[in-house]
Amino acid sequence: MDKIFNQEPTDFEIERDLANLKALLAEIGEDDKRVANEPNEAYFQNFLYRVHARIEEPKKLSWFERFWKPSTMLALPSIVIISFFAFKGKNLQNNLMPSVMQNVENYIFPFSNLATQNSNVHRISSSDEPLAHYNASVSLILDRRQLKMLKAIINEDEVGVIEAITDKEN
Amino acid sequence: MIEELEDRQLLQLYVSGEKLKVFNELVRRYQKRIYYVARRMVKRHEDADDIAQEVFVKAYTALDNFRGESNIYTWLYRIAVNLSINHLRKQKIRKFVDMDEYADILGKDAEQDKQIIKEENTALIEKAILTLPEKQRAVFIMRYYDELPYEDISNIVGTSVGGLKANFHHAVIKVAEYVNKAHAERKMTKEKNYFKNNG
Repeated sequence: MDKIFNQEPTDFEIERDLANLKALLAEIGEDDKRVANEPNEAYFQNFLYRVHARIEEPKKLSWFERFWKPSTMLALPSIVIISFFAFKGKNLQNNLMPSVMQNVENYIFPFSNLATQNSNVHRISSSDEPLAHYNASVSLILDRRQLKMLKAIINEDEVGVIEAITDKEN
Repeated sequence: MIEELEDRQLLQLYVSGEKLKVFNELVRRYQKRIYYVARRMVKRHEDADDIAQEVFVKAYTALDNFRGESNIYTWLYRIAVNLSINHLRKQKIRKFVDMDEYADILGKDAEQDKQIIKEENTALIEKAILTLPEKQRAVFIMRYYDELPYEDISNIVGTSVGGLKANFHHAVIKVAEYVNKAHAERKMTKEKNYFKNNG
């Protein structure tokens, strides 16, 4: 067999083996030309129609192609805009926030030297301190009662929540 | 009548502007041959149908650029063979990627194969062809069923005539071996069933 596979066959050899195959198929009663579940004639009669329908239909897109374009169209400008504002915002924060925060801190802690003199070294050292930081948003400045409330909510302490509310009311 | 024209004359008619008429005639003329090439290559009717349609869609878009250097049918065959081989490769990759699913498919296939072997009228040669590598399969189909000359097959698959002959010869031997073995197994199964049923 290896000998056969390693050399170019002559036409005689090919025809001989082909004839053997055909004889074998004839012997066992094989109809070598048919395929299983052959389509009927109507299939071929409608074939031309289906080809034309396919030519006219828009190109089938894969899921990636289908979603790539619209999502890119939406996502890319959004990313550019967000990046631009984020960059600009960071610069703004760096340039403007210290002075703004200084004023805020002056307002909140009028007697605190730490806050007024050097806000850059001011760090939140304990949870009792207000969450005021020159890099933080103003909305994060919480007083003791709010902190108490927040803690109670985080700890799911209903009594604590009520105490915080009553404390506030008092 | 357009049906009586030879391919070369059809091409001249196409160039003269009767594009749709010529295209329709080409589809009618070669649809069966192209379908059966694809069908014998990929086995499933749905896949063969898809490939056969795609062949003519591609031909429709590329016919303007067809220079007539080869026969139109060898050109169509080439598209069909390439699409079928691509399909088989994609199928292989898909099976490789999803091994669990593949195992299921194999299991089912094996079951189906057993069932099929039991059936009296299954074409063993069809199953034998499916065991051949893609290119060898294409060569065998074109030579055995369509009796295309080696030179035409050489144009279609892009292999030398000598290489093709070797390919075809290997295929013939492999198919004969498969058929022989499968027939012997089928015979044995039949005998076993006979003895089982008759004590």
